[in-house]
Amino acid sequence: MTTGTIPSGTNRPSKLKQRGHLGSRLRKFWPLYLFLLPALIYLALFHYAPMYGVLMAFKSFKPIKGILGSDWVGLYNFARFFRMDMFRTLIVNTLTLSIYALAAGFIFPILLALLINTCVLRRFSRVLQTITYLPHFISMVVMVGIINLLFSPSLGMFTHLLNALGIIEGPLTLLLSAKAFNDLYVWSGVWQSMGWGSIIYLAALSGVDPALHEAAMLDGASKFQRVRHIDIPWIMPTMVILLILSCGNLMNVGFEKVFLMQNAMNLGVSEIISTYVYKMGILNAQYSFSAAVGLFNSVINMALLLSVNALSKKLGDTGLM
Amino acid sequence: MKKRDQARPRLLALMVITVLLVALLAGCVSGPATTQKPTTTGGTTATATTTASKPVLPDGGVTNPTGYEPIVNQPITLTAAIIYGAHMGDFTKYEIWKNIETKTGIKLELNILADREKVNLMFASRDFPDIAFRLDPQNTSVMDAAEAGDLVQLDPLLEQYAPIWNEFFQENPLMAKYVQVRDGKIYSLPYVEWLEWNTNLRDQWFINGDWLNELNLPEPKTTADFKDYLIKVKENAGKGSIPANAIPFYILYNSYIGGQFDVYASFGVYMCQTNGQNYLYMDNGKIKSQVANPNLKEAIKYLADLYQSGLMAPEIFTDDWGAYVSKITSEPAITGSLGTHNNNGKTWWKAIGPLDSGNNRPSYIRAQSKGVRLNAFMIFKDNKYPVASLRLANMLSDPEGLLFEEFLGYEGIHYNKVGDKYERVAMVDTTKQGENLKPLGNYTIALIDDNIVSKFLSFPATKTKDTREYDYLNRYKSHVPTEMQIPSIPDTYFTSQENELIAQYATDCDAFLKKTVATWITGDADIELEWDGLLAKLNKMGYQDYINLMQKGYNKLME
Repeated sequence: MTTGTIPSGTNRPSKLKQRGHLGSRLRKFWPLYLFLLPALIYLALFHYAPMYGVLMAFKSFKPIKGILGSDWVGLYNFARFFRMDMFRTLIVNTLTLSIYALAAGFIFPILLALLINTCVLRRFSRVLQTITYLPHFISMVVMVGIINLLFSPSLGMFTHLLNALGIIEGPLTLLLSAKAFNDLYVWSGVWQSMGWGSIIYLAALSGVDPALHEAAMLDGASKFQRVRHIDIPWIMPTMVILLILSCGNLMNVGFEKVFLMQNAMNLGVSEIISTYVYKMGILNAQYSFSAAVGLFNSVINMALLLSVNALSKKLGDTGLM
Repeated sequence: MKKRDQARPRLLALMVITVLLVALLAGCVSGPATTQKPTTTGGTTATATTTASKPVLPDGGVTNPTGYEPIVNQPITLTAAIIYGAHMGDFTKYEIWKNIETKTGIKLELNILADREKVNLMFASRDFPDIAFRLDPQNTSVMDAAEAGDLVQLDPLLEQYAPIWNEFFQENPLMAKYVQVRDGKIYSLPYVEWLEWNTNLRDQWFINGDWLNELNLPEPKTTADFKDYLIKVKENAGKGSIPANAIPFYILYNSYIGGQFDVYASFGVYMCQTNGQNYLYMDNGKIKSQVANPNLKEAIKYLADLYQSGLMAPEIFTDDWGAYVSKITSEPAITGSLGTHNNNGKTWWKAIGPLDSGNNRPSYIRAQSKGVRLNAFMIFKDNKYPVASLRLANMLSDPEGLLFEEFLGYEGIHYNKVGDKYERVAMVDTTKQGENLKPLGNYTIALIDDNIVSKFLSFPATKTKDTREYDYLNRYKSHVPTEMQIPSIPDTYFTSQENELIAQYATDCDAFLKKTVATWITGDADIELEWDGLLAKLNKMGYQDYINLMQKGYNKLME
């Protein structure tokens, strides 16, 4: 989505005329601008105004002095984070988990949307849609509780089932396995968010001109070919935009779920930036440190978002900005 | 159309400029955390002292200087923060608040904070209630609040309005040192409980006595006997009262309460928890680590043997506190042995241990630190009735006030009055106690020092079998090496940077030890291959620096 620009050499209206034009638009369409005003105020108050809090990352924050009054320490908190023994482990764990989650979590909503869209039985597809997006409403705490109940080493449902089928003997050690942590985290997340994530693709697919499909059917195209040559190209811009937005959140692996799933056995892979900052920064009241790590996260996310956006525009002229 | 296209970017620009201006102005407005000049006394003092030249009643005429019934001559309401405790139930239902209101005229509106994170945020946001009971805050948060003038300084008021505490600090100068912040002043009162069977013992090691009898086994005296018992429990699961899903031995891995540390202690490896670390102990004034102790390796190998033989459930690594509580209170029992504070009224839990590991080392069991639980009572600056609040604190610590209701509970349920003595009931009938007749215990302020214990309290439980008191005196007392216990070192004895480093080292090293020992227990890693390199790896993370810092703080405390 690129904004239009006025070509050079075009006669531009004079400033006086522009002001008049703007003024008259304001007078003419004031209800619309008034309609927009609360959203702007909200953005200003809750998204832009609090930005000054980022200064905390460069200060040694003391509540007594407030953010602006606290001592300036420059990049001390960042340097402290980079110098930590755990730094490399945290980055590796965070990136591994988030890239895995992105890769798996990106594909399946698309596949589900395509499947639902091509389903002939309307009632079935509606029921399927409802069932698949219900897990989205389960809270993270309940979700991890379900995981623990199902996969509990001695008492879990799957433990009993697999023992009964003779597939394993004794406890199921998935929850204790560091290797299985990423898989458990990602695929439970895919199960939970797949349905909800497919909604936006279904909305995009509903805009496909039926005449295209009719024409393709007349030409003898199979269902798969129609999906490949009509549906997928149609939702490609949506896919790219959502991928770019997901890349912009790459470093923000959810804290809650990881923290709840963490135990002594998987700590080597489950200790990510957000859980470490929680233990170090929040529980020990080191807010400047937490702010510095949070800012570091955001800068990386921003850089990733811009890079992926640029790459996407270069490759396919579709981009967020 | 062209004109519209030209106007649109300018309009967008105008809007962005407006928003940024708003943000700029918002950033320039000073928030609630403006710098306050510290008063000469370093904190806020109560109105009574500033108007001491005039003979007026404190708190603007509301508070009576003496007497508890009432404390105030018109009803007042104070907001009171307290941290949540899962085993305490719903604080708001407790009868004691009504009694306080009836007797003193002070109504307390409770604000229950879910966890430490909420407590820290309360201090960071400086949005305080009138008073606070137990919050377990970071000491640095309390120090910052004191420097900011958010806390009422208590020293000038203690003599007149909290004489109980004034006398205690004069008789126990070390305790006074504990509660002081950096400027040497007192801004909070502690919880003091000097009952030796509480402070000198952490967990009791319990075995299921009913199962032991059914299996016709004697009480285990050695680690080998204990393993035999566990094997028999596993073999007989599903028979008699032993359920099919019985867990022979249950611990909450790496937890200070209910963890594996008393097993280590049976191998002569004594360790205490201090400032976030579990593997340290005191040796003639020097803080040392058990990490390089070869007996610790033997203890871990013993646990690994139990685990890999299926005598410990894998859930020891995944369960949380809630799961642990449900297992220790489960009726009927589902585990053959565990460690916990007391038997919770479950008659099948019989104390055992410490066990002889056969390595010719003394067998220990862990103590807790005798001292004080800091910051059990604080008064915040916006409290209109600081003197009434302090008098309430005194009342809760006074044997002639509500000390025994707050600490012990209720007559006929938790104690019986025999002459002047409060005779604590050996086993509390929890059906009579219900949800509203529970004592607050260590969730508020109390002063149970040696004087109170000897003068007022009597514990028939010391003569009643299967009580904590009896088991401590008859079984555990000689195995508790109190000289190896490291006292809690308040954050006030470290600089800000040292506190940051301690937090970092403690977090990193504890996580590393927790993970490494777990892999040895499960057999995922080989202890024989990794043992020798353990200390070197820890030192790379700053373990020795951490110990040095702790030693420095301890030396300062003892000066």
